[in-house]
Parts: sequence; structure tokens; C-alpha cells
Amino acid sequence: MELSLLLSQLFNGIATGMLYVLMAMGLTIIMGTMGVVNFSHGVLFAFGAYFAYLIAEKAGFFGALLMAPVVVGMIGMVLERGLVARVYGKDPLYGLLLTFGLAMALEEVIRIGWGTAGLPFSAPGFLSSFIDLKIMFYPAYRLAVLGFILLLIAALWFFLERTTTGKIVRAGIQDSVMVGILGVNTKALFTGVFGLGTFLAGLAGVLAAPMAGIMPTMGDNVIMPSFIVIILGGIGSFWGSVTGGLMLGIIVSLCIQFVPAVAELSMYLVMALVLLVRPRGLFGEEGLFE
Amino acid sequence: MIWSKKDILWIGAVGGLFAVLPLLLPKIGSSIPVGTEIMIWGIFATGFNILLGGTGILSFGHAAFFGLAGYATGLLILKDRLPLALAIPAAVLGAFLAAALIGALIIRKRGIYFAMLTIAFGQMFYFIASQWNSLTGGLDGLTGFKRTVFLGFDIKPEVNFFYFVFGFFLLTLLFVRALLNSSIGKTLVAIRENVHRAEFLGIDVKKYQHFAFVASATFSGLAGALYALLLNFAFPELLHWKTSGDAVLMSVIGGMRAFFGPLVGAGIFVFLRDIISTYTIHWALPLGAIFVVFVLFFQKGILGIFERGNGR
Amino acid sequence: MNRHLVCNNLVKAFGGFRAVNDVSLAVPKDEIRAIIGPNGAGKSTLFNLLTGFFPPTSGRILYKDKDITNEPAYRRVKRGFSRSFQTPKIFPELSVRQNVYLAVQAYYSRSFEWNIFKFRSLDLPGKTEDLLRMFDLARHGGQLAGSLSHGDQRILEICMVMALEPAVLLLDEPTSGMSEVETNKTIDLLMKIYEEDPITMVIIEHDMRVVRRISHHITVLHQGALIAEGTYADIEADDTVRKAYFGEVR
Repeated sequence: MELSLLLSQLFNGIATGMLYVLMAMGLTIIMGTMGVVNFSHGVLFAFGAYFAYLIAEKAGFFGALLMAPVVVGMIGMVLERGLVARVYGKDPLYGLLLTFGLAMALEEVIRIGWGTAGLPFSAPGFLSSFIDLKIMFYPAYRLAVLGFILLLIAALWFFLERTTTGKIVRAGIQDSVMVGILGVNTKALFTGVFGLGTFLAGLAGVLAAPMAGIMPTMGDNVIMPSFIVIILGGIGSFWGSVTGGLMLGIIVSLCIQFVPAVAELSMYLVMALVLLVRPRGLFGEEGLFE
Repeated sequence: MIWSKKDILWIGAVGGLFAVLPLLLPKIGSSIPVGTEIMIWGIFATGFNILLGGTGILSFGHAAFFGLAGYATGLLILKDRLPLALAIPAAVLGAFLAAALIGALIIRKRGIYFAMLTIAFGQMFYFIASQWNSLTGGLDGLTGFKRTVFLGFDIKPEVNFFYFVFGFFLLTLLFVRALLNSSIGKTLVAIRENVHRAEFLGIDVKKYQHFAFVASATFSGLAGALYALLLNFAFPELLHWKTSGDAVLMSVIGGMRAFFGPLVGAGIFVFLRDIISTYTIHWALPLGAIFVVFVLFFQKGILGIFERGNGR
Repeated sequence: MNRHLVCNNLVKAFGGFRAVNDVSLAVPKDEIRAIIGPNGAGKSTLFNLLTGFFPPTSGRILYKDKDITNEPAYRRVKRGFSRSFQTPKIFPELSVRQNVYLAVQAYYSRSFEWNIFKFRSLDLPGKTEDLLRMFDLARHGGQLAGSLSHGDQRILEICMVMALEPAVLLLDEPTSGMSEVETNKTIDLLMKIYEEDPITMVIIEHDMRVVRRISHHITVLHQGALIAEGTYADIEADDTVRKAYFGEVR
């Protein structure tokens, strides 16, 4: 087994893993704060990519990177105020059903708007080459994505740990009822959290577009891995999402390398194993949803 | 009587309606296989609703049993290995056993975790089907089998197959109705309404939940076997969690608390898909939107609208 | 039988916190035992342990000298335990009649669960009506259980629980949230049940008038531990008890 091949596959795993981390982060704050299992997260990821396609024509890649996630976040907030908020406090399965229906409808909206065929989307020019890392050649874009998401994770960490708003969000994840009793405007908090979560999904979509191409079904391909990540890492846990995302990305990439037929299967085996043996995941709290 | 007079009347009426469908459908511009398909989804959804509406448990993995029996049927009659009369029961038995095993493993988990586990197992089946090319034909699906004769009865023609399915359809309605009327069905309701109180009435909740899972999955299997015979084709999507979602959709829209709710949902699903698809291929949008509306405002579904008091 | 329901050195720890800390008690058959103590004393946790809602961290529970420590709740119910909860656990979306019917069915299920045809011969609807009349619920028969007043929901819960013909009845704050009228009605009912056919009862109560009226013996818990036991007069005069409720004795 060539070292360079193994290493580049490993890096691929980390890169995909990083995208999973972004998705999982968004999912987990929504699940942790409002108890809603957001099945529409995948299709919003796709919307991120499609909006990026639209915006990039006028504003280039970086314009798209800046604006597309914001648009997705805003759509997320509208969906939250109009629809999702109506199922708060009910059986969590209603949230699941609602977002499942939304995902179904929204994916069709994509097909109506942009057709069923895939769309091309390229990375910015200066990143479309390979970088010589001595032990291997690796696409510059993927390294940039890796670096960018690492910065983003740090920024998110800073936001959650060091800013007042961030601390309120964390408190809300722990106990949203209590936070309301303490005087926080939970309505605004929930909308904000949903907006942030979907913003991250849209962002992941923009970043993923040059790597995997843009297709109506691209959301389908990430939604399950994202759930697997938060189950693996633990619902509501920041570091759980990071660790889980990385682990899953690497496991799947290595499987693709050595036992390709089993790659997708391995993801679900991991999920089943975690759910059966340690449902709270690596860093989650006991008793949540149990 | 395990069926009340009202039960017999209603099932009789529905049966009567479906019995004349092959005459009506061509007149309204539809076709006989559409009616067959409605019955098959009706079997799937009515059985599935033992678990969802009857016991209050959401599964997104029943397509695994639907598809498993579909593939099994295809594989068993391929190259005339087994006669149809043996293949169908064998396929359904396969679904039953798979559900018994998987159910035993996952039933102890609650709510969301359980739902996610059903997705996990469903997807495992899906990926096995799409990767195991030599056995299942992979992503292209399983072909080369055709429905022929069942105990001497030729079911190749559409009409004949319609009435063949009709028999199973009636049996399903009668059986599920009887089950829900029985003490077992009532125990499932207790579990649905307040699982702790059920436990403290001395009910072995896990055992009954497992039963509901296996019973509903067996009907999914029956539907799957018939579906594969309808299409003479089995393909991986049959196992996908989205197909499971279709059963959920039918039960919710039709009404999970009403016995005929899932059947109504199945009819709406098939008709919407077929009618809307003549105007646009984007039928998933109105269907998804309708589903959202029902989840939010009409949690008791269409048939629930006729009940006193709706919504929550 | 002096040791009908017994627990030995029961401990329930949640992480480092001991909700129940080394509690032992023995309830004789047909005694009405009250369990009292300030909030957070571990009374409900003790109940949950006794009824099998969750397992203890350590210790044993015995019923009629049989070790039931690790038995799941439904199995204890089949042995003759019956329990009510702080907030009545009934089936709110079903009618009062359906609620009682399910309890009656559950009782007979003990003998022949899967023989669904046998149930037909038992006239469960008739027995349901008898119970409804006995508990003065017949006029609410068709009503949704969730629409009953709190007091009536409690009566319904007691009716359902009695339908199981229990040998041990555990009631968690049966009169909480009730007016004086409702409280008296509930206690009258419990005493009537006891008079007609004595059973072992363990009751968590805050209302001291109820405790004085109904209980034969009292166990006092404080911060998870058993601090006193005795009759009402004993407890009333006990300084440790007073200290637990009111802080230092002046």
C-alpha cells in the first residue's frame, strides 16, 4: 500500500469529515436546543450549493461563500417561525415528520428551479491546482476547505464559550425551559439557533460544491452521515460533533480504499452499534431522548 | 364475534368498491395496475399502522421488510426454482424472521433512537441490495422473473393479478381489524396512550411492542412480495428509508387513528402521484406540502376530520 | 405476615448524589404506612425503587420473602403491586370507561394473555360497569379522562389501580393539588377500600392531617436517609423530625 495513496485517502476522509462536522454542528444545536430532528438539513445543504451557483455568476466564489449561507440561514429562520415552531413541546416525532415532509417538498423545489441534471461548480482559480506536500500531491482546494473549517470551528468555539450570546445558546442546549425562566427570549433564541444551524448547512453546501458537484440529491447523501455523526459524538455536544465527524469521515474513506462495497454499510453499522451499546455517543448526556 | 357488524359492513363496502375497480378505472382514464398498486400499498400501510397508529411507534425502516420479501420472491421464482405458491409464503416468512430478529435488538430503545435504528437497518439492507451485484443485480435491480401461475390460477394478466391481490387485500383488512379489536389490540392502545401506566397495569410493554413491530413488518413483507410480482422487477429503492417514509405519509395523511386511514392515504398517494405526474413530474412537492399541512394541523388525518374534535 | 414488603439498605445514586441513602424498612401485611419527609427527602425515588421504575444502585427489596430487587415493574404488578403517581397517570385521550376497561383487561391478562377468545367469555364490559359504579364514576363514563377534574382523575386512577386487585398499594401523594373537600373524598375512598378488604398500603404524603387520619405507622425520610419511625404521636414529638422540617430546634 503506497503511503501517498493512504495519506491522500486519509486527508480525503478528514476533508469529508470536516464537512460532516459543519452539518453535525448545525444539527446538534437544533436538536439540543429545541429537540427537533431536522430532516431538512440535507436539502438546505443542497440549497447552499445551488445558491452559490447562482451567486457565483455575479460575485464569484468568495461572494457566493459569503452570501449563500446567509440566504440559507434566513430561509431557515422563516421555516422555523412559520412551521417548525408549531411542533415545539410536542412529541419529538412530530418534528421529525414535519422536517421529513419539508425535505421532500424542498428537494422537488430544487428540481423545479434547476432541473434534475447536475451543475458544474469550480473552485476559485488559484485553488484548483495540486499542492506538493513532498509525501503526496493533494488538491489545494481541499486543504483550503480543511483549514477554513478548522478556523470556523475555532470561531464557533469562541462564540459559544466566550460571548454572552454564545453562552445563552449553550445554556439553551442544556435546558431551554430554564433559560426561558431566567428571562431569555426563547422565541428569538430558537429562531436564532435554527438560523445558525441552517447557515452552517448552507455553508457546508457551498464548500462541498466544487468537491462533489451540485445535484438535487446531494442533500440525501449527507443527511444520514450527519445524523450518524451526532449520534456517534453525542447530541448537543460541540466536541462530539467534531470528533464524530472526523472519525466517520476517516472510517468511510478508509473503507472506500480497502473495502469499497462496504463503505456505506460501515456507516450504518457504526450508527447501529453506537445506538445499541452507548446511545448517548462519545460525549453526549445520558437520558436525552431516552 | 371478533368483528362487529359495523366492521363487516365497512370491510364489505370497501371490498365491494375495489371488486368493481377493474371496470371503473379504465373509464376514468386510469388503468387496472393502478388499482392493484393501491391495494398493495393499502396492505403495506394498514399493516404498518398497527405499529404507528395502533402502538404509537414510528419506524422509518419497514421498507427493509417490504423490499426483502420483494427480492426474496423474485429470487425464489427466478429460473422456476420454486412455484409461486411456495415462494410468496417463504418471502413473507423471511420478512417475519428478519423483523423478529431486528425487533428484538432494537425495541428496547425509545422514540428518536428507535426511529434512527430502523433507518440504520433499512439502509444496511439497501446497500447490501445495491452492492451485491451477483445476487441482486445491484443498482440495476433484479430482473428475469415473471409472475406466472399460482396453484393453477394464471395471474399473468392484469385483471387476474388484480383479483389475486384482492384476496390478500381482504384478508389483510379482516385480520388487522380483528387484531385491533382483540385484547392484544387494546393492550397496544394502552401502551400508546400512556406507556408508564401500561407498565403499571402489569403489561409487558417490550413484548407487545416487539409483537407490533413484527406483525406490521410481516404485512410489509406481504405487500413487498406482491409488489415485486406486480412489476416483475425488484430494485434497491424498495428498501430505502424514503419508501418507508411513504408508508408513514400514507398513514398520517389518511389518518393514523382510523382503520381505513392508511388505505385512504395509499389511494391519495397513488392517485396524486399518477394524476399529478401527467401534468408535472414534480409531484413530490404538493405531496410533501400536503404532508406538512397534515402533520401541523390535521394530526388525525383525513378520516380524523370526520371525527369529533381534531388536531391535538 | 410481619415482613410483607421489605427493603434492605437501599441506595440509589445519580452520579455522586445519593437520592436514597441506605434505607431499610419492613411493612407488615395490611398495614397502612405513611412515608413523610421534607422535599427532596427521596420519597418518590424510594417508591420508584420499590415499584421497579428503576433499579437500585445497591440493596435488596423483598416481597413475601421473595427477592424482587431486579424485577421489572410489570412483573411486580403481576405479583400484586399497584401504584399511583404524583400526577395521575391515566389514559387522557381515552374515555373513563375505556380507561377502567383496560385495567380490568390487564388484570385478567395475568391468567391467559394470548388466548384472545377467552376474554369474550369474561364479560369485561360488565365488570367495568361494576367498577365505575363502585367508584362513583359511572356518570363520567363516556367523558375523555383528560377532561376530568384533577380530583376525579385521581379517583379514576385509584379505580384502575384497584381493578388489579392488589395486595400492596403504593400511592404517591394521592392528595397533592387537591382542595380540602377533594382530599377528604379521596381519603374516605381509601379508608372504605381498606375497610371492605384490608390491603397493605404505603402512602407518600405531605398533608399531616391525612397522615394522622389514615396511617398506622410512619416512616420519616430526610435527604435520602431514614431518620425516624413510629406512630403519629411518636413522630410529632420527635426532635430529629422537627429539625429536619424546620431547621434547628430553638
